[in-house]
Amino acid sequence: MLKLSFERLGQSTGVFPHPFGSQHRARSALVVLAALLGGVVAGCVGEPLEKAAPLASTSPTSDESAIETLRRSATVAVVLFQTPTECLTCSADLNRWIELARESGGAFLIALSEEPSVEEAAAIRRMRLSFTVLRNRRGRVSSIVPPAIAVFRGDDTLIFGQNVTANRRSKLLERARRALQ
Amino acid sequence: MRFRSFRFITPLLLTVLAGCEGAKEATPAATSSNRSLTSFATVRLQERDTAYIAKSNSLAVSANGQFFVVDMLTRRILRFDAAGTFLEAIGRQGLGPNEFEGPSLLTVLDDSTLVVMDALRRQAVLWNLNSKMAIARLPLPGLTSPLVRANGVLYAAAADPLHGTAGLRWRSAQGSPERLGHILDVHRDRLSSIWGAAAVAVSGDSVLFFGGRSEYLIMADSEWQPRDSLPIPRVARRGIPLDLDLSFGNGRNIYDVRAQLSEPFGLHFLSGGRYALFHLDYNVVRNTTIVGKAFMTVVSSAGSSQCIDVLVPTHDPTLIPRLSLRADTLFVLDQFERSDSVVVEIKKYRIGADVC
Repeated sequence: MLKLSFERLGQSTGVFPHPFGSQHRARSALVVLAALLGGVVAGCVGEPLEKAAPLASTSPTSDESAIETLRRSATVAVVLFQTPTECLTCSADLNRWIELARESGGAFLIALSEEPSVEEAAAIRRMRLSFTVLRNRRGRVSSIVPPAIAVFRGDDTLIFGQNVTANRRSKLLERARRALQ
Repeated sequence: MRFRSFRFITPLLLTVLAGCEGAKEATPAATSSNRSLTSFATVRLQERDTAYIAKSNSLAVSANGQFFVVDMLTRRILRFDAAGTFLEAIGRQGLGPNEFEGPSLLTVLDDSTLVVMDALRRQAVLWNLNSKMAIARLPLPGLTSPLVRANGVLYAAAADPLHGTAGLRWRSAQGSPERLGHILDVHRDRLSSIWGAAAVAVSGDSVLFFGGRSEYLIMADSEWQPRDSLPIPRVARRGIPLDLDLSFGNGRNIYDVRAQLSEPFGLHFLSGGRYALFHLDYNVVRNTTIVGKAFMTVVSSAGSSQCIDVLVPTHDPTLIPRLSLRADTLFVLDQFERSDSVVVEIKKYRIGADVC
């Protein structure tokens, strides 16, 4: 059995080798460039979330201590940004995030980046978890690349993930917050 | 003249209609005989808000009828009594002395001892149900079958990519195992290693396992030396979901599972010198979601033939059921949606003595 964490999920390139080779690398370079430009633009729009929130961390390995810290705070709502193709129960941290939300009286929601298949939707429902689909509009590179966790604590928003460039005014975050209600 | 034409057209139409009806079935129905698999009881598991089965992984049933289910979301075991009342959660996720990282493959050794194979920690955990704590952690060399006990000795089969599958033996519940002979091909080229369950069963002085590419059932002695073998039919995968072709069309599946053989994943001794074999026909949907069906075959060394081959029934035909067998009773964990809720039931089936 494979042990997967959010850190490793973030680095995941799938089970099978990529068939496109150097073309893929060139495409990846373009994506990185676009992400960098996107980051610059996002920086102009609002303060980066990681700077604003002292608890926020881009290192998923620190999740456990963050969860322990958050456990002592007020009601929190947690949104897991996920693609339906990633294994939910492979993440060792998932249950801890769910427990954090439930123990504080808050909600836990899975925000899928695309419509799940019938089987995937059934599997999530069997886990008694709620989900919504927050698509990346107009094919743009999202400010939150799954897998990532957003924690809403009052007016604060904390993000945990590998590739997060979201800011407080991120539309994706706002849609996730609305979906919680 | 018009009447005579109608006589020919009618059978033709009926034939076409029959053909259309048959085309709805992607694969032949596997329930060739259900007469000997008789459902006689259903127990609904009464879960709690803080203790429910999100994703089951393994089912075990004790002699007094209690149910033990591994939940992969919380990485712990939930225990229910014979009536389905929740009793306790065993262990929790972690690396501590009473915690599990990847619990699976449960075995109930006796009234007070549960064995949990923790694949991620590479340990077989002996859990005392009275003291509610782990009393021993046996190191494992790799992926193994469930731990089984015969005549006070513990056995397991461990995958060994270099030499085949090794038989392991513990004469006492501590320390590293003795290595017995290698069982060739139990794991070779097969995805059974993903499930971590080589199909091995032990009863008295007899060990039972698959040989070749699961073409033979091999009966061995307690030193794992083969004594006899029984040919079993190679079963092509059946029960493939009807929408699988659509999945292929979208390029979501890498390989054609219909060309593969059914995956054996369980073996049990039945009464009267018979054996129950479990096959799994599964399909990976978009890399992570696994759907499939389980089939049970009963064979007999006396008859040397396949006696029944039945689909293990579940509400959701694509959900892989968790199975356990005690004497001639098959227990099936069935999880399904009803209205707005999820229901978990244990269904009990009796395998008739007249089979084989």
